[in-house]
Parts: sequence; structure tokens; C-alpha cells
Amino acid sequence: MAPQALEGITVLDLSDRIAGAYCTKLLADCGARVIKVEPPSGDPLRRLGPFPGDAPHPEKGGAFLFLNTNKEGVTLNLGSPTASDLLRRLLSQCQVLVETFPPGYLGSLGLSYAQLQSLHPGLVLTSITSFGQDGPYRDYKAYDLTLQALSGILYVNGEPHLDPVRLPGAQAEFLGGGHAAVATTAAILATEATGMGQNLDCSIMEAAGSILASRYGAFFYKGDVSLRRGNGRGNWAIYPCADGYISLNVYFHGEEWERFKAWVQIPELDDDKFSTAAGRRINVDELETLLLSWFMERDKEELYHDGQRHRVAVGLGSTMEDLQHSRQLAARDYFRTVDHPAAGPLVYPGPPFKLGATPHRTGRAPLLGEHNETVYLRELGLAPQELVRLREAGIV
Amino acid sequence: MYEHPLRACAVTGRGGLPLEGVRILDLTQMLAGPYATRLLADLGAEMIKIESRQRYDLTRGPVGGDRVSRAYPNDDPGEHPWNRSHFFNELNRNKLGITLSLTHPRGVELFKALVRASDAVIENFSARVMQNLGLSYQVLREVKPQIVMCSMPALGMTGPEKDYVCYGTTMEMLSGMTELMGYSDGVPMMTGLTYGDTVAGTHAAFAVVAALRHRRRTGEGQYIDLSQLETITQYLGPHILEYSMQRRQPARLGNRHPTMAPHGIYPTREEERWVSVAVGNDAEWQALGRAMGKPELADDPRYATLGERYQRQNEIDPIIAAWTAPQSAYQVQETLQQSGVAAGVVATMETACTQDPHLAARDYFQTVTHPEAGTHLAPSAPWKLEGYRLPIRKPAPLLGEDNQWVLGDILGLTLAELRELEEAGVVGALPAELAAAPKP
Repeated sequence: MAPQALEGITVLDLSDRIAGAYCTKLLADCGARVIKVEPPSGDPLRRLGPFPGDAPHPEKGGAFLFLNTNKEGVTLNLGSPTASDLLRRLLSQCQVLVETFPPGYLGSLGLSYAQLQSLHPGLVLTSITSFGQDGPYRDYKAYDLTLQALSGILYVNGEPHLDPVRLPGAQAEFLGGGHAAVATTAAILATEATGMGQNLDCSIMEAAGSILASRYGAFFYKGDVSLRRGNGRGNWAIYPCADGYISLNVYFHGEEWERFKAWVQIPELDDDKFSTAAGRRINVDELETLLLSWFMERDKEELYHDGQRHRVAVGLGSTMEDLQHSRQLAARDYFRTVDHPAAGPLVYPGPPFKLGATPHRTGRAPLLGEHNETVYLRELGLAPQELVRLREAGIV
Repeated sequence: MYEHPLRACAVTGRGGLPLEGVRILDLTQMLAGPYATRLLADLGAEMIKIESRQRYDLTRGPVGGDRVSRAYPNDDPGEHPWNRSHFFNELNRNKLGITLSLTHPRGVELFKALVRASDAVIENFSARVMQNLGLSYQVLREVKPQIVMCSMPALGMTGPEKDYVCYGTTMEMLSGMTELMGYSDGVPMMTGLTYGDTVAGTHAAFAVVAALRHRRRTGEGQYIDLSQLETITQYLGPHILEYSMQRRQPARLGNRHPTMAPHGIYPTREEERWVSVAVGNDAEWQALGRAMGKPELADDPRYATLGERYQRQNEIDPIIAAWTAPQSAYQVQETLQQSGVAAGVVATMETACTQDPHLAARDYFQTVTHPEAGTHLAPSAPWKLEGYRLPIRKPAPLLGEDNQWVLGDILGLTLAELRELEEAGVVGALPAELAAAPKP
């Protein structure tokens, strides 16, 4: 078997939201051993859709299945007094702890970072929360919408004359998880080199805001407040076509415009009024009308490939079905069919990048408590009757 | 010997930054790559950004300045606009900057010498560029077998569409994001974010650190082939599984949610200011009703269950909007949060940077003094380490600012050799366009 990049690292995953699950998914898919601890009633993510036939089932939720590939699953009722002993024993086998509890909760279990440090000096503790471990919003309630709003990534989308519109899905959560994985892996590298633990406070609001990148500079340099630009205009816009939508990104100056004209061969575009960038900008309404009627006679697949053959940046507005038929993604073997004992075989996005020497793992998400016996009996050395007792007490 | 431009900076008093001692060559330009390398530079890597006088990072803007698409301090491009662009300066802090012409044989030679002295190389050119420069992974691996190299072109290094021309919108379209995005009764929409770039950048940063970890353990380098498209589709994972399960296209929902209600943004008394409200369960709905001074809403059987509320969103939204409209956005946020309802201002750059009490309290903004752009605030990396902010140790480099340190100290070139290189146009601190112009 090929080696894996994060082989030999064990992560205790106490997270119960998308940001935490995506962070540990990145680690698990790259070879870290992730032990996911769920309450006996199951991770709340198991209650998120989509479900086959829209029928909720704790083993068949699409979000859970996708976010927990290659992890092991155990159950533990953290609120029970015996749980903290088990948790400490589990932790002694781990290098990393990822958690998404409200700030202070870990401390209430006797596992604050200071306590963890004396227990386990080389531990990387990654805490991912909506707003971070301190500050006035620390205990505020937030859903993805709240975090998209407060981070500033919501305001910039949509038509200038309409309300702003959010990004689809749980994008703030994903952004929080992706950023947390970068810092966690860097912390692992440092800990392996120095033996010293690291404590990361990851704020999802800040991670989402972070992608606004240059807009902060525009504000601080000259007070620019980005306005919503809708779907663009003229040469830089989304257009409908015969069977869907395409995007067009052509610079008005330079040879891109010439390549564009050579592709579409619309005679009216040879008119003098379109011969300069300024002219094309002034006559943008007329330009759009010409392009629209040309695009409406063609379908998106044809426009995408023909445009690209002329080296014009045309994009195809993919539906989920189109994605499955993308010959580029197929040639790169992107989608993976992953079988699961309850949910059956489903098509998942494969790894987000290809590591030449250390390929990703392609396992499935765990069933609820699937690894209780392996972890509690074989690794922690509990006696079988102890596990039965814990089960009966509702702890496992 | 010169003083190291990235002065050592202990964050916690007990240790340095996590990636201290890691040296990375950064050939990236624009947004996706520089975002990746900024995350790594913030975490302590010694990031050497390589531009050339002939082709510097486009985010520096044109030699003569461009006040439409670039923001300059006080709207003044100054004498060297390429050193004062907001876009470049924001994305490239904590990096060293050198100029090196990779189309010149001596430039290629020096680049290879730098590869020998580095741990990783990141580039985001189109798929064929490094090959054409004679600097593909196969070549770099011979120069230094343990090198980690990450290429992050739009659609990956293989496949029939690898050479397609893509901008941010193109990738959003291809990923399926656009079809899902927009008003519920409207057309598919692009984001206002060039979303794919930063999502790809985050994954590239993660991939490089993971590969560095493997290298530290085994001594083995490797190549990372990252398709920006394939990273955006990760964030649509649940939608992709929905299609796999149901063979249906998930609905375009605007600001609504597949299961929560109410879930939207509402007007306030300020122009262009909205506040978001999301209600996830019955308890929160009752809390919302009470906080609005409308206990009758909380008790109304027509809205008692999530199913009922979901069906009646068109009735509920105007009731909430009528309540928020005469108030300020922060006032609504505060009132509802005190009652345990998830409400948040729809922040603009202005509110985030100047009014948000939380970002201020968490020291999110740091002061950066740039030699040509002056002193401004800039956002920190989105994590605290040991309770501290990762410091902005150095402003973005001027064009060719660190040539002497990098080529002199790392590669051991003498000042005379550097001068020779400058005369040959291989390095330098002025854009080629200017240096070539006849002197007045």
C-alpha cells in the first residue's frame, strides 16, 4: 500500500458541525486516523439532508456521508462522569483534538487547554467556533446565514438594485473547516519538530471574511465599499443560451476581443462603434443584444467548447447532472463511487487535489458506534463486561 | 551578511511560528496562488515570491497606474503605482519579493539554485507554462529530489480541457455553484467573490503542508496536481450527493434554506444595511416572537411547527421586515441575540472594518507600515495561536525588494554579480517597460 501524507497521526474528533467535520475529513482522507466521537444519539450532522427519497435516516444523510469519509466512529456521552476518564484515555493515544463546542464547554469537562497541556504536553488542540474563544460575540448563536452575513461575504452577491443574496449551501462552515485544516496541519508539523503542543482558536466568521482578501485593502486605502455587480455586463457577464447559461470573460483591450470576434463572426461587430474598448463600453446594450441572440441559437456545450477552441474564456453553467458528464472531471477520475452498508453506493466528489506519492484514501463514513469495540476493547483495554455496563448506562 | 527581512518574531514567548524554517518559492500571481502562499507565510514559512521585471504580478496594476481597477492610498497611484496597489499589497504581506527573468538562461540557473535551497515550489500558471520554461516537476526533481511542488491551474494538469482559459466566474460556472446561486425566482448568479480562487488557495496551502509533513518523515518529495475546479466542488459535496441520491437538481433558494424558516435578510432604517435572521427550531421561533414584542406570533398555531412556518414564509417575512425596518442593524442583532436568536448584520467592508465590536475586540486588524503605501490596517490570518494573533511581520515586497538578501545571502552572489545581472535585465527593481523607455 502506498504511504499516506498524514499517516501515523491520530486525531480525536469531538466536532459536531460542518466546519469541524470538513477539517477532519481533509486530515482523514490524507491518511490521519480520525476517531470521531458521537453522542449515543448520533452526531447532529446525521440529521441533515439530503436523504434518499427525502426520508430522514441517521445512516443515510448525504452531508454526514460526505463529511466523514475515512473516519472511525465511537459513541460516548460526554456529560456522564465516567466519560471524562474514557476521554482522557482516548486522548493519550492522540496527537490532535478537534472540537467545536461552545467556548468554555471543554473546560467544564476538566479539559481546558491548560489542563490538557499538563495531561498531554504535545497535543494540538484545534477549537473551531462561530466567533472564536473570546470577544463580545463569543456566545452568540449562529447558523451559516448569520456567519455569511457578519463576515461580509453575503453583502457582495446579487444585483445592485436588489437585496444581497447568500452563497448556496453551508459555505461559511466549509470555509471555516478548510482554513482550520491548514492551521492544524501546520501545527502538527511544528509539534512533531519541537514536541510542544499548539492551541488554535479558529473563528468561522474570520475564515469566511478572510476570502474577501483585497477588499480590505481597497477599503483601508481609499474607502472603497464593494458594491454588488449582479451578473456583469457585455464582455464580462453571464448569458442565457438555448439550453441553459454560459459565462463570457473577454478583456476589451488586446487580442482577446479579436479572438472573440473571430469565433462568433457576427458581422455587426465590425461596425466602427465597436472598434474601440470605449466604443464597446458605450454601446454595451446593443452589444448584449447581438450576443444574446447569437448565444440563444446555440447550446451551452457547443458554446463552451467552440469558444475555448478559439481561446475565449467561456464557462458552462453546470447543473449537478452536467458535472457527472464533464469529460474533464471524468478524465481525471474525480468522482468516486463509495459503497456504504446502509446508504449503498453513491457518487462522491473525490480528493480535492492529487498527491503524487501519497494518494488519498477512499473509504466510507462510519456507522454509529461502528468502532466501539475496536477502540474501547482492543485499544483502551476495557473488559467486555465493562463495555456492556457502559452501554446499559447510556454512556456508550 | 544582511539582516533577515522577516525579523524573527516569537508569538507566544515560548516558541516561534508553526512553519518557521520552511522555505517556499512562490511563482504564483493574481489571487488563488497568492492566497495560498499568504496563508503559509502568515503561519511562518519563509515565502520567496518570484516575479520578473518583464511580467510582474498583474495585481500590481499597470506601470502607469489604473485608478479604476486598483485602489491606491488616497486614490493616488504615486511615482511607483506597482508598489502601491491595494490588491497586491493585501495578498502578499509576510513574503519576500525578488525579480528573476525565467526566460533568461541565467534566470533559470538561479531559480534552480534557489530550488536546491528550498523545501517547496508553488505555481499557478496555465498548465503548460512551467513545461515551456523547462521547469516542470520532472526537471525540478532532478535538481532537488526532495522538493515538494504544487501546480494549481484552473482545471488541473491533465485531461482534455486542461488548457482551457478560465477566470473566477468560469470556474464558478463549471463547478455548479452558479446554477445553485441566486434569487429563488431568478436566474443563476455569479458570486461577488471570485469564490473559486480563495477556495483553491486554501486547499493548496493544506496540500503543501501535508506533503511537507510526509517529506519530513520520509525524506520523499512529491508533486501536487490541484485543479481549482475540483476544490470548489468539495464545498458542494452535499449537493453532489443529493444528485446521486435523487437524480434531481437542488433548488435555487435565494436567502432561504432547505429546512429552516424563517431564514432571510431584512431591511433596516439605514440604506444598504440588512440584518439576517435564521430560526432553526420552535424554541427560537418563540424567542423571536417575544423579542419582537409579538408574543401572539409565538403562540399562533399557524406558525407553531417548522413545517407550518416553512409553508408560510411569505406571510412571516413581511412581519419581521416591518419590525426591523425602523431599527438599526446592530440594534436588531443585539436584541435578538440577547434572546437566543441567530441574527447578524449583513456586514459591508465599512461596518466590518469600522463598526464591528467583535473583530475589534479580537484584534483582527493589525497596523502595517509599507515603505511606499504608508500606514494602514490589514486583516489578520483567521486563527489565533495560543491566544495570539499571527503577526504581520513584513509589508508586501516592493518589486525586487529582496533581491540582495535572497540572491546575495541565500545564493552567495556578490554585489558585483548582482549588478551584472541587473544590467543584463535578469533582475532589478523597475518594471522592464520603464527601464526600456528612453531616459529624459
